Amino acid sequence: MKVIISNSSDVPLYQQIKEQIKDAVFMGELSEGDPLPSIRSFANDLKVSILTIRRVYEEMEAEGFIVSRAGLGTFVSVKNIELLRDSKRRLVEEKMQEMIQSAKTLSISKEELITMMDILYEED
Amino acid sequence: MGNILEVSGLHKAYKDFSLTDVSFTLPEDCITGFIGINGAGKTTTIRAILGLVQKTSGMIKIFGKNMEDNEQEIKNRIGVVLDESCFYEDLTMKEMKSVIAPAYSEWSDKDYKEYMDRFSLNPRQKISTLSKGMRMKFALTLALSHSADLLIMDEPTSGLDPLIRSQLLEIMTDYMKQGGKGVFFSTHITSDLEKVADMLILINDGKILFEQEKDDLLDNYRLIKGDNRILNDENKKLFLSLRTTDFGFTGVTNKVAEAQKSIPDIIVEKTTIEDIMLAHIEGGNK
Amino acid sequence: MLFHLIKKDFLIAKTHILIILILIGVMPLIYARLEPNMSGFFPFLYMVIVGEIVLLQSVSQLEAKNPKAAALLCTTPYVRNTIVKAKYVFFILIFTYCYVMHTVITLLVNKTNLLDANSILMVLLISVIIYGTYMPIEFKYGVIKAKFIFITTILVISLGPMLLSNLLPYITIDFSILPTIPPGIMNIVLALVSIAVFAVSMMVSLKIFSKKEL
Repeated sequence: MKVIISNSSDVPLYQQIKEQIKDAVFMGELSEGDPLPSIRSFANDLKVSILTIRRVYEEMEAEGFIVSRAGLGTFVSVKNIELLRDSKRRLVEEKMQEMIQSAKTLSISKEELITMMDILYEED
Repeated sequence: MGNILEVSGLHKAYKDFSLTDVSFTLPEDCITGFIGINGAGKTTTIRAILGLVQKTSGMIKIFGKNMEDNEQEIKNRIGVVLDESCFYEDLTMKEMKSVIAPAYSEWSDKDYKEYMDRFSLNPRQKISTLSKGMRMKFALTLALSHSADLLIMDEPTSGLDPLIRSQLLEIMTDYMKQGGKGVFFSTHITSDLEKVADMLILINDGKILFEQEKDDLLDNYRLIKGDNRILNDENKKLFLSLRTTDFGFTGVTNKVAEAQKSIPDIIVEKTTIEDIMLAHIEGGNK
Repeated sequence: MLFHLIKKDFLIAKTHILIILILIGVMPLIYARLEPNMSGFFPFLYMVIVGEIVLLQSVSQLEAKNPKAAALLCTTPYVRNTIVKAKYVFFILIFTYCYVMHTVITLLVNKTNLLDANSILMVLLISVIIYGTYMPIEFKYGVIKAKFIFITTILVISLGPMLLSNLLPYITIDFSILPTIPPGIMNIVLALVSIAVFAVSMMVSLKIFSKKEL
């Protein structure tokens, strides 16, 4: 699993870490029952505060992506992979909504929008 | 997860200065930075915690136990680093150690020797001949050689060069790796804390201004720069502190989204802990 | 614990202590030469007073050079009480040393000056009173002020005999009762009063030091 955090990004640290763990699960790098590193070692390796990792784990558990078993550690709980796929889709949908709103405000037609998107998509 | 140190309602009145209702909690496994400008009350607070001064009122619990009722037991598990002049100058380090070591039931000569070697300290050297940095290292050696669960340090890095400071920070992180430990240190060199602190507590004029996770602070606060002609009474309120010149304004705020909405053409940058600290101190003087 | 704190005092004041201990050791010798017929009481008294007060002050002054060191000690499990008690144990140690030195030298030089229980207890009482008054003052005001207070008091008191001799003709207390008290009981009384003064002084010092700001 790769987790690389950027100090200069606008996204909060805990958010970055959460997203990257979710990505790892989504892309199959982590599967059901795989153990996650202990809070302490994870914090040490990433050089972030133990409190941040603790929050990551707590929130992810509340959201249903991981589960912690007392004395054993924290593990991936894949039953929510659909939820994950859904939430990613929802994120893109939200961005699309914003895009469509702006386009409408600026009187850009749907066809123009689709053309623009084709071009930009190829650019990456 | 327990709290290693709990201070509540600490009051201490002096003629010209007082600590007012100082309360904070240190969770386990955290390095907590206690920040503030000179004279803010850091040393007084630490002394009150350690029982060096009589508090006017308030409660101090360490490891969940009341300091007053369990003094010896608690002090046995605390490592203390006060500033460098807290040794008997005419003694050698070996002699000083022979005075301090027997006080602790868990003293480890093995740990002591390891640290002395790591710091390249010669025990037969007289303390008066040591540099500031070496004294701090010696103080740290003594504090770390009896399996302490809580390290309390009062401005351990002031007057030290960046190399020694980074060595100290490294030792702190190593110490924390053992688990179940805590570090509480006061400083006004906030750049040290950027790397190493989990929690930050700001004190000013004897009062606690905030007690927050460091990552939270750095995530939430931003430095905003823009044209000061666009500032008005409304949007000025968004800022904790604001400085204007003829060429623009610079402000610190944690209401970044609102600022972006109500003030166009601004530059948003991350703050340092120092920015946040100064903003709170100046902001309080508004 | 107490042992190490006393050891600390010795470590701080190594040279001073050595010199004074030697001087004290020499005193009975000198006295034996100069006044072989005099009872051992006075040299012993002198030894003890010099030993206790001078030694104590040397240590305290050297200790005062590093005030924060005492603060550090109070953050250790030594706790304030132990630090106070150590000073009182110090007193006992020095007294014992003086007695031993005096006895040893007297045995070697002039067997007639050997101390009897009465003399020992008298000296004990006097030195306990002096030490017991001095210690709390030093704990409260620090060694510099305590020294000042002490010396001034002594100076004032030394005017005392002069005043007393002027008043004496007017006082008619019958002292003739005292010699009739059997020495055994006298000794017990001396011992008890000494212990009492010692204990009270220690308690006062403990109380003072527990409140002191470091």
